[in-house]
Amino acid sequence: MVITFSLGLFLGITLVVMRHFDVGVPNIAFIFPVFLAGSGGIISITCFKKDKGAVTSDERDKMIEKNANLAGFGAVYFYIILMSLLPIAILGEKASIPVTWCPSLLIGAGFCQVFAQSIAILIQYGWGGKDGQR
Amino acid sequence: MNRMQKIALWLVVWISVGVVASAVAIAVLYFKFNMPMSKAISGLGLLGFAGFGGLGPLIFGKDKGKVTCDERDRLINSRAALAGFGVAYLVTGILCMLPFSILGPQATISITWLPMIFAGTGLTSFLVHSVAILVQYGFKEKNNE
Repeated sequence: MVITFSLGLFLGITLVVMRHFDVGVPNIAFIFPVFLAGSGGIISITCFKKDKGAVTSDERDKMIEKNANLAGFGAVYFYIILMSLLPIAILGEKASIPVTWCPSLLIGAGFCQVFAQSIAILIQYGWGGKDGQR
Repeated sequence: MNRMQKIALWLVVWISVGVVASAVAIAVLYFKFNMPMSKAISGLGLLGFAGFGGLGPLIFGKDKGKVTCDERDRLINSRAALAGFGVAYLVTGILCMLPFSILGPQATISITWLPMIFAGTGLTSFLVHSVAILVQYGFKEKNNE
């Protein structure tokens, strides 16, 4: 998830910068970072099967998952604050925005949550090691 | 009640007071004084009452005794935080999709809608967190028995 999201984010930022410098980037190209980021979910479901064995998840795993959920939600909270107040700071309080900004905010919140949750899981497990051991 | 319960109850009371007072003020300004909604919405200022909820940690001092918070308290707080964030996420989704659904994709909205999304998210998170703490402790007798 972290890899595909990071690649999607990097590609998205690159396209925005290219558009800013008037390099001919068609609108349809902006769908590719979204697909790249979303592919993490599809790959996870299709390629990573359930662990074999009688005990697949213990209390430590559940605790890590709970902490990761909290981290994800906390990141979304911070993201909502940023995306709600930044436009007013930049555009001023008398401005208007297209109504499509709001659903985009929600989609961004979703990606932010999954990204933060995935990073929190990796940090808590210690970035690797067999069987979740450090 | 332990300190966490008292603070949670304090927050629930003051957020409820703020929300009800705002709703009543807006209704009175709109229906009784026939103000346009753009002016009647100034009744939202009474949401400031909810700010008194933040004084809870100052008013309710730390519990006396060596053990002030055990694993059960931490588990309750953690679950309550998850509940608060989860419901706040739902409220954010509704507030984001509402203008889009009502006005359609070609419309524009005032930029002041965005801080309202944030305000709704924040208030919901605190309120649900506090209610979840009170529910898990069971609204019971002192010493959490």
